[in-house]
Amino acid sequence: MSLNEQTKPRVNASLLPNFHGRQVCLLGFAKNVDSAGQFFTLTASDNQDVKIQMQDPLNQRVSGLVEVHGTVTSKNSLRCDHLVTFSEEESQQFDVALYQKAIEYTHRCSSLYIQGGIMED
Amino acid sequence: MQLSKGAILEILNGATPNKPVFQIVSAKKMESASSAERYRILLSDSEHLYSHVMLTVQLNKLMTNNDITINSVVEVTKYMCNQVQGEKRILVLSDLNVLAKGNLKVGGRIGNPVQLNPAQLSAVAAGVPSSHSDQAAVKQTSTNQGGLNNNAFKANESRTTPSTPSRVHEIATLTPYQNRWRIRARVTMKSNIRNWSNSRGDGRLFNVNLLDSSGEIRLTGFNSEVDKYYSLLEVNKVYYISKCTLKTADKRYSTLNCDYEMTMTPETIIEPCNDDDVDLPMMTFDFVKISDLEKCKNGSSADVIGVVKVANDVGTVIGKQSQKEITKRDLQIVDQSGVAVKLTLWGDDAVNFNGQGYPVVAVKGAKVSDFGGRSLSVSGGSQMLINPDLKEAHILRGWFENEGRDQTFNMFQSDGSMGSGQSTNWKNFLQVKTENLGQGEKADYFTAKATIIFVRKENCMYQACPTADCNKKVVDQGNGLYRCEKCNREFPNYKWRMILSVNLADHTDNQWVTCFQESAESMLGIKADELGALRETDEVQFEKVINDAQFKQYVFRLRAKVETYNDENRLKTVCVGATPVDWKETGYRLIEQLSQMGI
Repeated sequence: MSLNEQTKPRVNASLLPNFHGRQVCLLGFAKNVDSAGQFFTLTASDNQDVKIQMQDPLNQRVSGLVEVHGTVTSKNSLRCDHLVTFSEEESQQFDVALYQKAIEYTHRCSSLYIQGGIMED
Repeated sequence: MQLSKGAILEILNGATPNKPVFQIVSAKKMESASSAERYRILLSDSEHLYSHVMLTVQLNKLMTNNDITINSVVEVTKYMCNQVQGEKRILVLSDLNVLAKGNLKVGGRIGNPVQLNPAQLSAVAAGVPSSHSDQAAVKQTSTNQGGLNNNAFKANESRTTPSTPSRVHEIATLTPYQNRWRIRARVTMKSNIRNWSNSRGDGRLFNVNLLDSSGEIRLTGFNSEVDKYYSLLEVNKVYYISKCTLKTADKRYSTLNCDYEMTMTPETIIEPCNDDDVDLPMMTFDFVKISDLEKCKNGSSADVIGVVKVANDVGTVIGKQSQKEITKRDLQIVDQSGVAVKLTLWGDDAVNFNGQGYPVVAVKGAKVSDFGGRSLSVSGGSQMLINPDLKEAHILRGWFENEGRDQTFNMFQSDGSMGSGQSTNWKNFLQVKTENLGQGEKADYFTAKATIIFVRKENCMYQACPTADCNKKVVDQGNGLYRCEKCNREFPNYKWRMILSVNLADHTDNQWVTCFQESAESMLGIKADELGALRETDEVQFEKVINDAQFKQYVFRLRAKVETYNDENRLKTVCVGATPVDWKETGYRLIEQLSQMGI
């Protein structure tokens, strides 16, 4: 299995430079939505902040646990194509440390973790 | 008057001088279990004094008639030198003539004899200069009144209590064949008083473990001796003990490494020893940190010390074998390793325990069990000390006051908490086969996270006896009545019970497993009686329930046992519990496994 253009791996902030221009999935906690609803900040699982740029202004309240699917535009910013929000309760129960560990392992042993895309035999 | 100088040493070294003349410096009546009186003599040949000297009972009248008094000079016509207990030589005088009575004819001690050191035997006598004997001589001449003095003889250790026979023996030298001994030992364990009642009657007993520099031995007291000595004997104190009967040790009841054990008799003498120069080993502990208890095997014993953080109330349980009520109390003890463990007290220990003020508790030989991960018990062979005067205890107290009190402690987990009280033993299905689980005498319990890939819907339920605890299959009599063979009754009704055959799989292999009522009901999400009704009324819905259960993941607690049917060995796996997967716990467990693999 290889990481090709169609895979959209889960990442944290530190991994963004490796995926410049590529599609990723970034899970973290949202804060600081600007007044126009165009930008907000996401704190990734490695506790670093990433600037998220919305294509369409946000029409819902965004806070707590949020998953951003989008394209990496710089080493700390993302253009969002699709947003997944979670409930208050889910945000509370989420174990960030465990998720961070998972990200570390999947990238350290990337050949062992299938993250979508075309399977090669 | 001249004594036979050096004759004592000659005799002790094996020679037999003819009719030696000695001075009887003093004499003492000995206490004896038998009715005969025996007199022990301090004998002098003007060169040496020797105290291991006895008169045969035929000569007792010489003492009682005052024919022999202090400082009498006698000619010994018949004597014997007996070697007992290895080194000790006893001189027995069986016939003698009184040459001169003390006081009148003889002024005091003749010559300046010195105490004969047993080490000098078979060596040329040089004598140990002993100022004691001079003082003794002065004392005796000034205090003798013609009667018998009751001064003790000087042995190598200085003791002057009246009833002490000879010197102190080592525990390692005790045998059932020699009754005249005295030991000095420290009590390292004192049991509680136990009562028993059987066909031959009833009684009480208690036992103590005694320790000296040579070894250990167990001493038991029954009935009246319990009253006499139970409160006198205290752990960690030293006592002189004599006159107990010895017999071969019954290893079932003692963990000591000693061939013999002792029992108290009505003649037993136990006296506290107050010497400060006594050099006996103290009770030694080899403490294990609570966090290290997981390295101790189930059923082994360990020494532990900790602060009692929680002391629960006294409760009772029914003993499995005795069927009687036993009192118990569970404590939680903690130490600097940051782990807490359960400690169970029984009987009087439980009732009398006072947990106030977070006491420090030390247990020697606590029983380790893997119940709930790890737990400890103060068993019959254990010794518990509360707030002992040990260095570790003081360190613990200091730590607890400063940090420990507010610390949160980890508990031993039977992680996954299946409720069976055993360690989880995670396995995958391939391991079950390659590791031959279930092949031994006892069934193997293990835990597996697996997916239900198939539920057999044929024969998934049976009609069972409606009586509360009876689950026996009932026979349909055909007349609307159902018969239960176990209860020997017929009923107009029955209850449905599930007995589900499912195929479970993980990433390594699959396994057919039988699930009974409780786990089956939770896996299907429906009660047995409901399912039974559904099967008869709505086939489609029934199938849906079965199908919906498939491809769900659970954590299964399983029991594997190989059983033989008609010469064929089959692995039977039964589910004793199924719980939903705790994903966080699973994640951390995987991380643990990965880090152990060095990734």
